[in-house]
Amino acid sequence: MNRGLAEDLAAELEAVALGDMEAMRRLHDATCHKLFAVCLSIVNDREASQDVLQEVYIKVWNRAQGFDRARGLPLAWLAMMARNSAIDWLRAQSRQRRTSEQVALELISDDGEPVDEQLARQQQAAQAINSMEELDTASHAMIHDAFIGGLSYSEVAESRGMPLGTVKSRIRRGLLQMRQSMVSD
Amino acid sequence: MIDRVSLSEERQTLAAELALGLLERVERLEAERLRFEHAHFADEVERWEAHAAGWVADLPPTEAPASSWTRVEAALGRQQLGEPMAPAPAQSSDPGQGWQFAAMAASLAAVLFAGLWLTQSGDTDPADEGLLRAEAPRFPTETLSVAQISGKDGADWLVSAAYDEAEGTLYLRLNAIEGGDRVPELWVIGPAGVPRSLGFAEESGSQVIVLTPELQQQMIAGSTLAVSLEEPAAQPSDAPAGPILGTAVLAPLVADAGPTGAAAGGATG
Repeated sequence: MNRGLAEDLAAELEAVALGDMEAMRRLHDATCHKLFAVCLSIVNDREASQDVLQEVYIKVWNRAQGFDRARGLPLAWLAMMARNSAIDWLRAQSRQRRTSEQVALELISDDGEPVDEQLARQQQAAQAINSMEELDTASHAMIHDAFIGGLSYSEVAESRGMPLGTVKSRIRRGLLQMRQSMVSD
Repeated sequence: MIDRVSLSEERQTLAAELALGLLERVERLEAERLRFEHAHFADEVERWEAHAAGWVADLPPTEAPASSWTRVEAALGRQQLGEPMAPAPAQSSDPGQGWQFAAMAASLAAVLFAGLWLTQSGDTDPADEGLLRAEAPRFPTETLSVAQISGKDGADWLVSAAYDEAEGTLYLRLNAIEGGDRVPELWVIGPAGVPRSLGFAEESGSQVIVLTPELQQQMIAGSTLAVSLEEPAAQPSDAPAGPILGTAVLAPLVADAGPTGAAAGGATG
């Protein structure tokens, strides 16, 4: 995001915090496509995403005073609000649809990890033919997807049909690499 | 549980895992406590949060429905006409557990907590006594969870809290917190592992808060209550920015613990 846009959005947010409805409209128009994309990428339903988007802007109106331009970029602040709202919506839907079988799946915990670790080792051995570069790219994609979708380790493992231990080891490896790159940036 | 072999790298990874929401319930609560207690760990978490927020902001835009602003404007209009507003920040949530640690502390602190609450009532100005008695939670009750926050240096208690799950009501008593030009703000760290504001509080005295359904979901055994000092504002902030004075784990009352309710308590931060 360029500096000018960031400053414009920050100024609009500060005006919204003071109750400026026109600033609210300008902020909406400048960001709605981006925030709609965030909602849609998580909710995966256009109509529901529109509901979530409306909720996001109501939160923006109510919480604009919490934005501090010294602590972060305005678009990131808004995007995170959209992400969190979409995840809340998704989880609320999930709770409504939950079956006893799903509850049982959620109760899978680290107690089973030794078995998973064993499977992970087997899988890692089978994947030895993959290049490290491919593995790293997959790890980073897994981390991105997990964060944007609000998924925990066990949810990532379930969604990808992978052993929990494999998911953890891949993601942790990716996190350490990302951190190195964050430090060197 | 969290493995702390090779601590430095482990904590770096843990900070990332917390920031990215990867941890399961018990680990998440533990990591969140670390965040409150260790400034460097908290900085690392914040660094990751900022980094990851950029991933979300970098998603390519998608054409929003043309009616978007009309809907937002109408919703804001309804709100200004008096529809209830969420009193606190909301982020991701899910049901949770992780109260085993709290339960151990609870059994030790139970009678102390109940006694403290009752003693406080006795120490109050007689003019206020009726009000305080009316606000105090009933002992015993099967739906009551409690926590007591003390200062980080082990100083006197700062906040006593009792939460009535059946009523969704939080009973608070604050013990003369000196914040200067800042005001105490209360937080709950529920199963989602992120702090949510319960609102600002008076520096001392008792207070009753009826929580929204969303916040009620956070008030489970094992959740952490915290108090920070914040700049006065019209709305609670998304996360604590000021100093954290202390934390405590919300623990259920023990049903058969005696005539005073035998209660529970919390671990201090």
